[in-house]
Amino acid sequence: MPASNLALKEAGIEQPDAIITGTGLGCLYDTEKFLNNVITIEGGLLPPTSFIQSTHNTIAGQISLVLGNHQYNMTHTQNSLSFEHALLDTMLMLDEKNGNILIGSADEDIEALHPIAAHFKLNSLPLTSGASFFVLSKNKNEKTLAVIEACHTSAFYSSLENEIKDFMSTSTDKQIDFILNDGRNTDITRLIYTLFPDKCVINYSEICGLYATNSAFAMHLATDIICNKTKQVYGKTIANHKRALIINTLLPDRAGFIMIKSNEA
Amino acid sequence: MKVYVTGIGVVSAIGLTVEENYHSLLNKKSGITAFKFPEEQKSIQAGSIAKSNAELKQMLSITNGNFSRTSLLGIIAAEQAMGKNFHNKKLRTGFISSTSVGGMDKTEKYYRQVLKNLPVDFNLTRTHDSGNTSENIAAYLGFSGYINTLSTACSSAANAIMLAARMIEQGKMDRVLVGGTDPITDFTIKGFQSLMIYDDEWCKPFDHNRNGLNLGEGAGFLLLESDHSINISGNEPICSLTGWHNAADAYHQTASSPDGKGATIAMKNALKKAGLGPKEISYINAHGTGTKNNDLSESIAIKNVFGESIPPFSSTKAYTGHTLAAAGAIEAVYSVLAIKNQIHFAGLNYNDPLEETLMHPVTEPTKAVTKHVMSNSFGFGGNNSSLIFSGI
Repeated sequence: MPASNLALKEAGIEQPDAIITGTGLGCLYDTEKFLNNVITIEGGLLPPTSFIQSTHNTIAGQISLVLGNHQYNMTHTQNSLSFEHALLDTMLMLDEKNGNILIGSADEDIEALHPIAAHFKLNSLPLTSGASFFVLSKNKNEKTLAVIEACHTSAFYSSLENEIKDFMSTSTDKQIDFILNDGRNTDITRLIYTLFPDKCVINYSEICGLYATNSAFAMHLATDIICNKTKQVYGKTIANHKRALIINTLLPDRAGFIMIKSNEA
Repeated sequence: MKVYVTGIGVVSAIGLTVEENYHSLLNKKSGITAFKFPEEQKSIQAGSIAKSNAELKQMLSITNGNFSRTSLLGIIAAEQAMGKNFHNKKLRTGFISSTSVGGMDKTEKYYRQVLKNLPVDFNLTRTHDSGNTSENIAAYLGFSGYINTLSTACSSAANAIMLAARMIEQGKMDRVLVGGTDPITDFTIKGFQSLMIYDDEWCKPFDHNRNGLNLGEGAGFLLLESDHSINISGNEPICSLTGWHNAADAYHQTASSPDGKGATIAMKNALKKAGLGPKEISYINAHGTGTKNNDLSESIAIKNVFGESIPPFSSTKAYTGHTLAAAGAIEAVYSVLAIKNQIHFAGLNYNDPLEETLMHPVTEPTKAVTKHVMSNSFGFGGNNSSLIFSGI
């Protein structure tokens, strides 16, 4: 909720024309709490609050409640690609109508995830919680921070190399300056260095930790780098900072791509 | 750009195929019966599907792999909707599913092991996330590329159908296999009981003495295609999807507003999108859960939109139970059947109208000219969606 408020405030928007969110695992804290009650409390009625707040669309729904907003209200939940799918829905809607769309994502880290992550060896980096929100519009104004050039998702691909090449070939602007990469898979990192020699590569999961929608953090970071013209980011020197490619390979066999650039590029 | 419906599939408490579902609807045969999980003492009224997971796997010739009941039900409906269509490199084909609880049926088993300090089977957690539910269905049917899941509680599948239509309309996809699936879980049963809206008896949508909902399980899927797609596939359109709208009620996290604001906006804008006047709607397949709150709010919203000339309407939830995320897709399939067979389905257990609105649902299956059908789905978080299907 604070993240969505900050995004609206920064954009100077009171009522967005749609609220679109992504969450990989939904509202885990409340889901676990209610599940715990379901299993442990025999007979009698359970307190409903955690059930009410366990649905995936609690975040988008509560934002609409607080704002008194009656627009399109959507929640995408495609594990590691939930944010990208919310972004694709946003871009589709901006093709349909003008307006300012509040788009973001949130995922929670709860204690119950830790033994599961440890069992499946998914804990090479800390599990964390995170929420990022953005306001997207088709019209550039004095508050515009950056431009989303393209977004694409692919599940069960046969070759990541071909997926990246296809994404680059369909983009109108084929030039990129730096890359944000999940960074845990050395083969993928090697592939990225081969495809984009001399480009600065930032491993974003090392910065924000692991959660299903951490590519939204990468988009926030990319926006900051583009806007602040930062040359030094987490020990890496970025020569050019106008165009970024975010490659989300948080889960194997699934990839998300976002191309974002400076509005002066 | 038109959006055609060329394939439908459904599995619910009233049948494992489209034909079985239609037959039950024609014969006013409900699937709601006494149901109980082995761990529970007391049985409840629910629309369960009398097939174990092992039997569902056998039906699908699945010998190994990690499948939640959610995915198994989804595969049955999705395979029916896909029919004899093959993947074709010339057609960009997407897959969108929806679910409210994903693989909660398996997660409940895992969490019981955790809380009882039993040896845990971590594989049970692999199917928890909603995305996995869809990926398992998509993978079974050989899909890759765009695979997505929406989860907006009880309006999920209607929203998935809407997203699929928008993608086809905007030329992002040539065809989309779209639907929703949800199993009965202890989590959702106790959840609705905790809200005191679970009727211990058979639910009575739009009746003055209605006392809550019964849950159900199932899945519905539709194959939506563009003109370009049917030119290549050669499929015969059953009907088209002409109107859709989603609006937030912004009133309460679970309850619908007394003035039916969100539902009114959804229906009005779906009509606008379809280019239709209220008088052109032949039949409404209402959300009609049987809760005091929903049926009143929905009735008021219908009055707001249709005034004094209210089209024939009914809810099919007393047949299937409320199948949560799947409801929008199952009822979309029923709406398509209403057009295909020129029929309005009957609501069950109706005696007296709501005092506030005095509206009478259809109570006998009625053959009538059925050109445009509206299907409503409303969910927690004030998530309201309306779809309009139209004859060719």
